[in-house]
Amino acid sequence: MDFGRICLSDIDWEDRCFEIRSFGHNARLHASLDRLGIIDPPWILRRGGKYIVVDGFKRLAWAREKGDRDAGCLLFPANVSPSEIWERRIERKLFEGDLNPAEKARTAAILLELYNGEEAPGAFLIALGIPNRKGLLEKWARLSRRPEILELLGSGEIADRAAVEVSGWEPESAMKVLGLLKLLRCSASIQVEIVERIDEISIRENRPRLDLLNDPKIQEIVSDKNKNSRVKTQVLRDLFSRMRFPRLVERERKFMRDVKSLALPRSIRIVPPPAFEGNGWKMELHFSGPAGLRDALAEAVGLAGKSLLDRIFDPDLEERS
Amino acid sequence: MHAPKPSRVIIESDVSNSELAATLRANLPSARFEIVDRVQDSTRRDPNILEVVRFRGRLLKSCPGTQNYYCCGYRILHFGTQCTLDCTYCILQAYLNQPNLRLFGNTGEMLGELSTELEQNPNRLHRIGTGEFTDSLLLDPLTGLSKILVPFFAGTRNAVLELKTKTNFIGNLVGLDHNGRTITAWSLNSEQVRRSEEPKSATLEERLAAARRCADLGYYLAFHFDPLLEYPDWQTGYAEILNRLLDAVDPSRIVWISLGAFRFMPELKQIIRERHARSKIPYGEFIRGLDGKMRYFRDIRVELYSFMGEIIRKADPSLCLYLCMEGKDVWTEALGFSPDEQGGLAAMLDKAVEDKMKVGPGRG
Ligand code: SF4
Repeated sequence: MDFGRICLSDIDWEDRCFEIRSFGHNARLHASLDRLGIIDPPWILRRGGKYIVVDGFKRLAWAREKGDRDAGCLLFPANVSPSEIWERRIERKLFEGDLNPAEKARTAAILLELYNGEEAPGAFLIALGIPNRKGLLEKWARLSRRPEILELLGSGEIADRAAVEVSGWEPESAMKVLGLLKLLRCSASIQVEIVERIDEISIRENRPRLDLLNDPKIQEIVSDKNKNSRVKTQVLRDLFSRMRFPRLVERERKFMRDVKSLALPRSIRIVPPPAFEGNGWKMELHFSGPAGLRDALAEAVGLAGKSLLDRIFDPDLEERS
Repeated sequence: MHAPKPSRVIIESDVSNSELAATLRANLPSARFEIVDRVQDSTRRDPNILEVVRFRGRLLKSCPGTQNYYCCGYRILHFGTQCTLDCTYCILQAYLNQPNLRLFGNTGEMLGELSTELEQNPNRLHRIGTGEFTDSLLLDPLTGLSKILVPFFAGTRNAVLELKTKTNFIGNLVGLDHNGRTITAWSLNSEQVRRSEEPKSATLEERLAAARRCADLGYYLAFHFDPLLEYPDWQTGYAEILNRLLDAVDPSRIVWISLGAFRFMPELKQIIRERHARSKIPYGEFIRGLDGKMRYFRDIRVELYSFMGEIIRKADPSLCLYLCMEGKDVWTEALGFSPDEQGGLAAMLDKAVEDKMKVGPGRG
């Protein structure tokens, strides 16, 4: 690329095809420009009788606002292909350090276009911080077409992963769930869990996501003034679990009821296998010292005679008895 | 249904002069044949490509059972991989590096391995199948493999062959001397599941007609309700197919019926979502099983199995019915007994073969 001074009035400011928008105000850059001017020359391409900006939109806009007539730029040779320009543009962007979500999303979209169905080089994905999982780059790319979500991401209250998951949702439900996540202020993994649950419940129940999100049970929790965001999160997670895994949750509740009616001594705890799968039931005895152990054992033996014990293991017994 | 007609056959030079390659050339006159040193793995699925390679591992494998669930003790004759029937739930979709139809050209080595195994273990009954990594009969019209395997097993004293399919490609089985050593088996499902999750396979009508024809030809039969799926009103769908089955064939020809609720490696969920976006099967109530696979929450499995078991037993209480990859608690709750009471699942299936087919190491 050749260095030269480009007249700012020769730039086609409308053509922003190489822009990777950050959706954020870069105060640090402006402070630096105000102090030292443009240190790193923007990249420019000649197209028709005009120049278009490849890299350095903010720097050149700053110069124009300041009233400069021209700026030192690096000019791409005339015969360079768009894919070559993009490759350099992305490489440079990645070297600049952490990209914000909007930049990541746009870069993902460009990579997809650039590699046209082929797998994008792993080094790019690593630099972007996008795990090399099938379909993930596509989801990020979809996000680039959702400015309303990107704006919300800019607030820092929504986790990238949750936003990526809803990037393919219809706009109203995407914004509704993101609004809910903003209100709950929960961790990234819980945000993703909530998004996945809503998605899967709506598919299972053949119910539009928006309809589900407007469900009175959910709305009641959301608008409850007596619950703080932590409690709301927990109550909502329980509700979504019940909706997504109704049989399992019902069995867990039955187990709790059965254990309660068995009136187990405090020294004994019965632990079912995870998700009741397999035969690995456990009984825990809590004691301190030999006398305590003897007592606990005697109580455990006493349990054996109780017919109520059978209920715990039988999913149907409660109803039959 | 029609057999696949690949337009491109890529053959490794090691097996380019094999019997299989010659049969394929004869049966696919308009296909382009290419000889290469080594077929490379690829991630692009192309149903028009058929690869013929020399398989370098064990050609006789054990059923991939796990400790926590009863295993059938089945052996698998590994003759190829992949399938173009493209069922939404198929585990083969997860084999991302070898997505194309692939056959092993070293059939002679496969039979050699098999003979050695049978000779070295003369006092055991060998139940051997071919439909674990592909459909047993999908490519049979092109390969004619059944015309080699069925007579081979006919000559054995202590082995039976099970050909498991979702096709009706039984043309090659007609007129073979099977000596009552081959079980033709069909995977069945409800009409609704057949339409939505396995639309490229033979219709249930076609499968049942093929089964009836095989029974007429003297073959023994088996049926596998696998994967059983839980969906709204599944009871009606499964009762209907069971009744159709029991109407269509004489239960005395059936050596066994297996039941297996849908289970899958966790990574398959995403693949199904991407490849079969309309399928709802990944959204069941799955939990992580003791083998690391996702499976329906046990109470759902018990309900599926009890329902099926009741209908089957009403029709023929003596029919050998077994659960695929389940533990003692589910067996006992669903069927009222566990394989332990019959010496283990493998022994139970051996007995079914001995009783019904009169084949076993102790028999002449
Ligand atoms: S028929 Fe069997 S091997 Fe073929 S796609 Fe269906 S499940 Fe997979």
